[in-house]
Amino acid sequence: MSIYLLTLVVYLMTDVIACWGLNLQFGEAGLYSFGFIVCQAAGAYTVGLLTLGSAAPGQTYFFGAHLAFPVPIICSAAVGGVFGVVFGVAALRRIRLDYQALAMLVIAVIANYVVNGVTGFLDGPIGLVGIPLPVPGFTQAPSGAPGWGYAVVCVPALIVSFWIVWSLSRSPAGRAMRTARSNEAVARATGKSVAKLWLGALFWGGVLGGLSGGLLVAFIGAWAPASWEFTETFVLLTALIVGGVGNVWGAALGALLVPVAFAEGSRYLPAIPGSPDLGPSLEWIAVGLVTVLFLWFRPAGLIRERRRKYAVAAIEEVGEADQSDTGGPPMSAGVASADDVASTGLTSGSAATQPARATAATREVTTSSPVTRGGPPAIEVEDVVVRFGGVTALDRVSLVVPEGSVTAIVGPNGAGKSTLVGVIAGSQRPASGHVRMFGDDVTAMKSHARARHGLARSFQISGEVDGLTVFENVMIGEARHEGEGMLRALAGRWAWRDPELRVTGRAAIEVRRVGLEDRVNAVTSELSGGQRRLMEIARCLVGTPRVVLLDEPMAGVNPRMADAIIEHIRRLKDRGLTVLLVEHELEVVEDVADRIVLLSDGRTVMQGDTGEVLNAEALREVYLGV
Amino acid sequence: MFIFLTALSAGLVGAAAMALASVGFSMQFGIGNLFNLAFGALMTLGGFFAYVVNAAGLGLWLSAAIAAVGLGVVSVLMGRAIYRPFTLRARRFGKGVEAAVIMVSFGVAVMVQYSIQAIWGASTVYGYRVGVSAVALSANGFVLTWQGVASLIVTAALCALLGSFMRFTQFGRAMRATAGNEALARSSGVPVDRILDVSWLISGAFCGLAGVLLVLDIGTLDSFTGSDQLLLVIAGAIVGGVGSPLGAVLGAGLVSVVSEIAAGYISPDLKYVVAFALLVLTLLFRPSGLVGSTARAKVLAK
Repeated sequence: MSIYLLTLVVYLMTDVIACWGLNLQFGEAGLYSFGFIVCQAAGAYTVGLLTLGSAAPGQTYFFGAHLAFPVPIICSAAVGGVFGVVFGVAALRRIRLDYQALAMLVIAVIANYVVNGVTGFLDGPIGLVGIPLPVPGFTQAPSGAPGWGYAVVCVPALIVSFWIVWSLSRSPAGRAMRTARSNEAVARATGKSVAKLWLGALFWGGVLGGLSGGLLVAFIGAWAPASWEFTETFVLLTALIVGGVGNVWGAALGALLVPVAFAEGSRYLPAIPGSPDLGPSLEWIAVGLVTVLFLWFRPAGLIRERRRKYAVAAIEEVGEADQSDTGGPPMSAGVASADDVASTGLTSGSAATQPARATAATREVTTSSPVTRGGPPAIEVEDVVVRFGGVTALDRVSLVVPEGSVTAIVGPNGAGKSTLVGVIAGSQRPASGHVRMFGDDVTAMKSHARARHGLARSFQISGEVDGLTVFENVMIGEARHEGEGMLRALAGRWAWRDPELRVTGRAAIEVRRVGLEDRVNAVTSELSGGQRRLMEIARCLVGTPRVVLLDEPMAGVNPRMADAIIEHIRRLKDRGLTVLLVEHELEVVEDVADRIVLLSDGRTVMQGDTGEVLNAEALREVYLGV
Repeated sequence: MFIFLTALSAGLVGAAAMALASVGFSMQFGIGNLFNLAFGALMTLGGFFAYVVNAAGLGLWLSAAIAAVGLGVVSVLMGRAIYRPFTLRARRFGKGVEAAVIMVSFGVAVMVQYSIQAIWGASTVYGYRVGVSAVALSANGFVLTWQGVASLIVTAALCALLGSFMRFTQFGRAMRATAGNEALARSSGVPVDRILDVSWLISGAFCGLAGVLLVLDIGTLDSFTGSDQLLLVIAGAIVGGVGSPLGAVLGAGLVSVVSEIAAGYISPDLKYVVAFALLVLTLLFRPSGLVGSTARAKVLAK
């Protein structure tokens, strides 16, 4: 009985670690890692190879070594991480999610076949056997069977794993991952390197996978291709779906309920005479049924992803200080940040208010000098050509956006405005031509790099990130968040607390400016279309950009809200920002723009001061055809 | 040359079953937008349907036809009761349909697979009541039985029939319209729900018949007969180009023959590795497949 219970406990711990790893990849980063089991297998084989020593007669495996505990276990984590990255590269290709999932699954299947079929590698179908327990004096029962000492050995690994997933999840890096999960375009436009986030998730997820495999194999003593068929990944996925995707406790609960409870629960079912397969089959039918039922009735799982609440009181406090300020003097107020509130359970932020931190706001001041400056234009597009197949969407388009101006790009539907936005923001690579920002050639620069270079943008449609609150949606706008790295996240809160506080403070100011302060903890689906636009404007300004690109910010917004948005655009100008406004409606443009660029059929028809362009023949020709 | 011809003939008969299955899979993918991981288990179910009818005394090809119809019905029910509601809900919430449905289809796959095991046992081996088929053709290692010839003819006829149905009839055009853009098709007066029912019916029937042909090719039937082939079926559909019956046939042919040749020349252990590698490379670098020009936009839109 004791050995049975011990087995259960060890399985539970290794399954929890594996589920956490998969949750990092699937839950937090949104990668369909259907081949996750490869990481676990890699870790298991690593521990086997590093403890067994060189192959005895009759065994055929490469590289055997005799390393002392805990070296093999640590190596298993490292190898798992490497395999996570190598086998997850499929995730980096821009293909449909189900293709991504299938590619990873098939890669895992191929790996299994290869290990099974190639001789002299990992001993084929027999696999590695007789892997000894680490530190036998401590982990072995007098009978020679594993003892409770082994469970003790697993505990530190469990703690380290918990630290990895928990600190990643609560950190700015975790928020960036969730941004990339729900809305890649927004993630890129706000300066997140999506590829880096994904590789990070693959690596750390793989580390946990490897670790769980390593711990498991040291306990059971054998590992063969039959131990890691791709269906095992599905058991873990089911566990996540049942427990709750995207949160640490849900993943742990899922590991307890699905692999452990299902497998062990069936032991108590009476055997049905005559049909030995009926019992286990019913167990699996239940797994399938539970998966489908959960996906339908409770897709978030038993424990939902935690929504971080921010202290509205503290934000209002800052807002009042802000009333007298129109963008000039530095802010000198702090707010309670996410974790001050979330982790201490405060309902009011006042007790957690941080001392003044002025750095972020002072950065803004440096840009608020008068409009006319002698420097290079904020944005310069030169002879840009974009072709889609045989269609030339942009044909040698050139335009200049002077620093400090509000420049509008206008043109009828199909003029090429959206393509031009893509070219300027970096999501659309031109066939030829150049894009410059403040004199620097950024043509080859990707979206996230341009965002860090000082370009913020809004989206014509779907600019919100589901799964983040309104406040978090604004916070992600900081393209140069110094605390967003994964290593900082793992180092602990002290490593990212200060930059995070600065961003929280700035976000509070901007949220207040657009009047969304009482919606900060709402989810984006609760906002009206106009409120979402305001949220995006606030997001654009959190990162103290130099140029703000607004893509049809008034589209589909009611007239009163549109007036409010126009007012906000004016204020951006007063703050000394350069604004590039893409707009379909001429009336809107007339109100706010200093300069107009008229685009038609993929060409720049004319550009100049607002009055000049609005009175020009060309405009009437383009818009009215007369 | 001997190895090559042996491999070719072995691959050819298997390819007929694979081709039917790939066409069915491809149809569900193209029109229903479903990546059906349950397809392999459903093929097995088709094999067992035919077994039950065949064991009761009916002839082999009649049993096959009944199995095809039976699977068609199962497929329609499954589409209506499970996949369609999930697809619609994912769309309503603006979520990726493919992401929502692939997990569901896994759940269904597990249920079907283990229901089969619960009824017929996990590893019990069955066979059809069928006499030994005479050799129709034998030359230099290339061997084909009459049964093989019949399988090839049935497959070719059904695929040609489906291809011309999709291309030349009003209903077939409506099917293709639904595959291209369901919302647009609906607003142009295409009865989308009926189209989906019919495509579930046809793809299910192809799936069931493929299961039967597979059993004829292998000679025996057990609970894993179809599931073991799932990835090869998917490989055929995707390498060929999803949404195109012709592509699926070509893809299945290529995959079957390539894996037989790999088994013959490299190692039987690595029989499937080459086919799977082909699948992965297609997924990653040419997701529209060999022929799939119509499906390209759909596949590339992430």
